[in-house]
Amino acid sequence: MERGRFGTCESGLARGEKGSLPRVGFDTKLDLLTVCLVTMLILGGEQMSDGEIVVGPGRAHAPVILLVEDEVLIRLSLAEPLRDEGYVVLEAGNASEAVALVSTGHPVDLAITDVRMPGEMDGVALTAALKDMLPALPVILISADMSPDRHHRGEAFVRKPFELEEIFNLIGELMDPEWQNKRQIRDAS
Amino acid sequence: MAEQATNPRCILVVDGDVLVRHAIADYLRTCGYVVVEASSTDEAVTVLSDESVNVNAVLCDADAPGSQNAFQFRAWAADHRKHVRLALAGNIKAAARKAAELCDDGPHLARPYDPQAVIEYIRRLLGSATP
Repeated sequence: MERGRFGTCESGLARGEKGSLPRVGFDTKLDLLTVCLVTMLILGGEQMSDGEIVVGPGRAHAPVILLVEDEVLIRLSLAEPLRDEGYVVLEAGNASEAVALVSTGHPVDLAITDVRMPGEMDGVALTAALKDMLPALPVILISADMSPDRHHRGEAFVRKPFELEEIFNLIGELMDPEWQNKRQIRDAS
Repeated sequence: MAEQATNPRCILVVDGDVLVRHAIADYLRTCGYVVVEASSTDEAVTVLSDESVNVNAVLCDADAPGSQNAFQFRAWAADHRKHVRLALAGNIKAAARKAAELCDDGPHLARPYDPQAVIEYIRRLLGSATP
């Protein structure tokens, strides 16, 4: 696939599937929650006593990225290349869907969210909500028009349109165990 | 056959409930299909209108949100994307029966989904046992 600038509806789409986790069948929300929790345990996610899911160092499963974007073609054009790179991608069309997915306890290693989205929460508010649920979760915000001066709790901000390589490099950096360790030390101090 | 291995069939899953959509989409990906997720019929129309996305079949909740209901969406798809096979699913008996009448093939799909039933249905719909 030719990689162009992303964050526009003109992006090309990749094909092919990698990185999907083997999963058993389920047919209710309760069953989904059970499967998510079992999968998390099987694949090496750790559950702390207060319910916080540990991400980063020690991760034994394929990295899971939560992608929140209301423009379906932009979401698709980013989700597919990420899957091609071996990431498991959870897609959410708005902040409420993202919160619903994270609330199941499904392991998430990194989140990418658009800033301007319909609904009660925009990307900045969603980032705050995700950080409240999973303080160690790295979050990348993407936007075409957000001021760089606007305060947010994410680790990085990327302006649309962006190069796919830019996102890949950022993800690699934020998921790097050394970076995670440094941040844990920083947060603890 | 080799072409199918390199270009797996693409399924568009249309469901307003993210947990239900994620569950069935993830299962279909595990089975080797490329899956595009749409949270409404409007998103589904956007995807089907984009020529760079080659969708082979649509799995749509009969109660999916959007400016068109699922049955109007089905009619739109029949007019604009004749090659796309479409399956409607419903968790309300009346909707499920209506969905059954409009499905392209076989019995209706019950929702919540039975993943194996969905796979068998899609295989029958696409006339191929492999993605």
